Amino acid sequence: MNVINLWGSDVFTPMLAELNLRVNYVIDLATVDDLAQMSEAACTIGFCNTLSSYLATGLEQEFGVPEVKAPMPYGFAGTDVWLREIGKVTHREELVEKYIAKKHAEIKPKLETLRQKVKGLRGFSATGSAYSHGLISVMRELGIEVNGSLVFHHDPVYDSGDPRQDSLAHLVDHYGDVNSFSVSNRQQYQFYGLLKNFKPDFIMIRHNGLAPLASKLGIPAVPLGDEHIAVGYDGMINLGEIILDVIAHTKFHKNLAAHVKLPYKKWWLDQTDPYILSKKPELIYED
Amino acid sequence: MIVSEKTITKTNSINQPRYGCSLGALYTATAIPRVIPITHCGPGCADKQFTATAFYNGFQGGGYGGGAVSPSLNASEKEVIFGGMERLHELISASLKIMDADLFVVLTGCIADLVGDDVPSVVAEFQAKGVPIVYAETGGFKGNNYTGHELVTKAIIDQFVGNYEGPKEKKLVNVWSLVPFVDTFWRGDLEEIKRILEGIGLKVNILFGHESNGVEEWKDIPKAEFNLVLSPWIGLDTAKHLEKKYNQPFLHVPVIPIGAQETSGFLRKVGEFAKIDLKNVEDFIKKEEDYYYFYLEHFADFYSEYWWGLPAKFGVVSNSAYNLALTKFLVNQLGLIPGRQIITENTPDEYKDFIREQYAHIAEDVSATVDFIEDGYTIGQELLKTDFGHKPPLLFATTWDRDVAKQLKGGILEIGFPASYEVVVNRSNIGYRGALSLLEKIYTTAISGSA
Repeated sequence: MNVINLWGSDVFTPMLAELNLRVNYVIDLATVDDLAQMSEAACTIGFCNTLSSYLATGLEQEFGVPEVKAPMPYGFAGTDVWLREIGKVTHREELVEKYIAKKHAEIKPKLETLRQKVKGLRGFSATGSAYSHGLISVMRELGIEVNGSLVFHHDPVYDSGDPRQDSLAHLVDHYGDVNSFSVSNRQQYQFYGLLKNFKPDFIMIRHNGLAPLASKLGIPAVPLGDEHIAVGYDGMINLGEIILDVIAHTKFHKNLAAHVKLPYKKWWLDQTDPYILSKKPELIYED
Repeated sequence: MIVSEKTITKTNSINQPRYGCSLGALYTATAIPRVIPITHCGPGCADKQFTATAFYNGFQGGGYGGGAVSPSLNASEKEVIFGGMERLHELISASLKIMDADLFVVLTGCIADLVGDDVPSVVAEFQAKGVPIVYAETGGFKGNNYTGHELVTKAIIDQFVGNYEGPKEKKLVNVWSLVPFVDTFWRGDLEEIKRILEGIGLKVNILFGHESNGVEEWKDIPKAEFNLVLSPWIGLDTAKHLEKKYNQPFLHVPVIPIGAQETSGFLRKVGEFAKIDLKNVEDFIKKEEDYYYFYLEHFADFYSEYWWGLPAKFGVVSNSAYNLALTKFLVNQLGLIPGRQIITENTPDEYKDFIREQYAHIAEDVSATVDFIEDGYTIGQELLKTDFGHKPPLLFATTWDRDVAKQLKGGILEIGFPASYEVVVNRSNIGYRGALSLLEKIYTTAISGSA
């Protein structure tokens, strides 16, 4: 099966090997042969729907390679549905159920231990849209409080037009609402207001420019350069462990925050609404 | 075998670039304390310059006004077709409302310069109201970040510092040397330059970095007795401009001094030009040399009797400033043999012969050649063709050259853009103090390669 993604560790091969599936990991750093065999795959799954859905839809339309239409495999709920959908498309329902039962039994006690360790933490994710939906699911599985998120774009329906890929609806249906949900380009001056209002214990990022500001406010960031570490059942454990590592950095960031000045004027530092200038652009010209 | 420039076929593509575009000079602006650049460019331009110049180049960081702080116009189809002047006016107004800076520097990218936005008139409107703001037209086709650097320095001098008719201040000097951020070690290096010049009794406008007094220091530029251009050619344009504008003479020293020998010679030259009491100069040199040779004496145990062999030949792949400085130091003070010197910054043609001349007389008894190549593939091929003798060389180069270093089984120190496997805080490689930490780095690299 094709796994279309950006980059990062291939966590898919070991997971899908249990379903007797071979992963064709594309597109970055793929060989021409890897790309050529995409049209012969049993199915396609995409990570970062925003970037994969055009190709996945094309493979389905032009070559009959079905795209797995499911929410992304984050948290128990997402991973269960995602695996079952793969099972259905590739006729491996029994293998899937066996794998799900095995992993639930394996992960649940580990997760319980982690939940005790991260208890009381408040997280905030600031990433692309579907990725943030997935990360919030995992954080909530860990018992971390997530009341706010900043996503850089909002794409409720992808090229397939299939509602099963509506990752935001999946998040809200399975893990509850997110009180304050911002869709905005990653403007650092606006992000200041969000961090000030939410006072998270850590943030999750996968783009540059946000963590440096958080640092100056005493908040550590989990930089998810290796973007698939939160995927699947093991992903919940992986992410929990990484959050604990990063929370330890708080000492560094708090110390820094006490010694640096932000590049903003008092007027902006005192604002409570990060989007005030969009609502009242005339404020720009007031003295 | 040293291959002369004639045998190198220049392709029309540049792989593994060793500089940013002209807009990259937004990091010249952020290098001045409390100065914030405003970029009039397309989405992604400023971010790419940041990641290339200030992040994956020693991980220097954006600091107060760089990185994701710098306001940008985010020009899209609308600004391409209808022009971006209105949007620029709005962006500057909003920046003034929110951002706390002593000076704003508007830099234009390709879009503004191609569609012909009248940026000067937009900025002039704010200047007329007394807002500290200047503009520099730095569209990518103007050249690379080295070109952009001097466009920005001249913009600040002409539009912010302005005319000056008052008296000169004795012993005050403006220093034009390494290019902030692009030169990975500029922060520590400029600190060391300031330290040693102050040591002989000068007052120093270092202009960039933590030791600069920000825009107040820039306003003092016209008061200086002279300008010091400490680099093979960068800064010469600025110094010539200042010569006319403020009637300031300049001293051009092409070799940035590394190690006691070169540094003491440099200070004597500057001291003589600035007519500083010779005793002040010699007293400082003596004190610094005591310090330097105390450590060199201890280092000599290692250098003279390390049983397991040390590299003999070296190659340098970098811009001309670091290339010449390192080659001079390695040849004259360590006794290493120059294997291959490649200058990568797209040096203007008029300076090439002057630079070749420096290598031709690199030591009394050593002559070296130098090539000017920008394309990473060609550089790699030339390094692989070079005869480095009976043992692997030491390369002073960039992240791009790591693969070739592996093929040559040599050691590599990343000393220039991009240095993506080097974390640089305030380390210096020059002067007296920097040379000692450079020695540590060179020989830690050399002997740990096999560990």
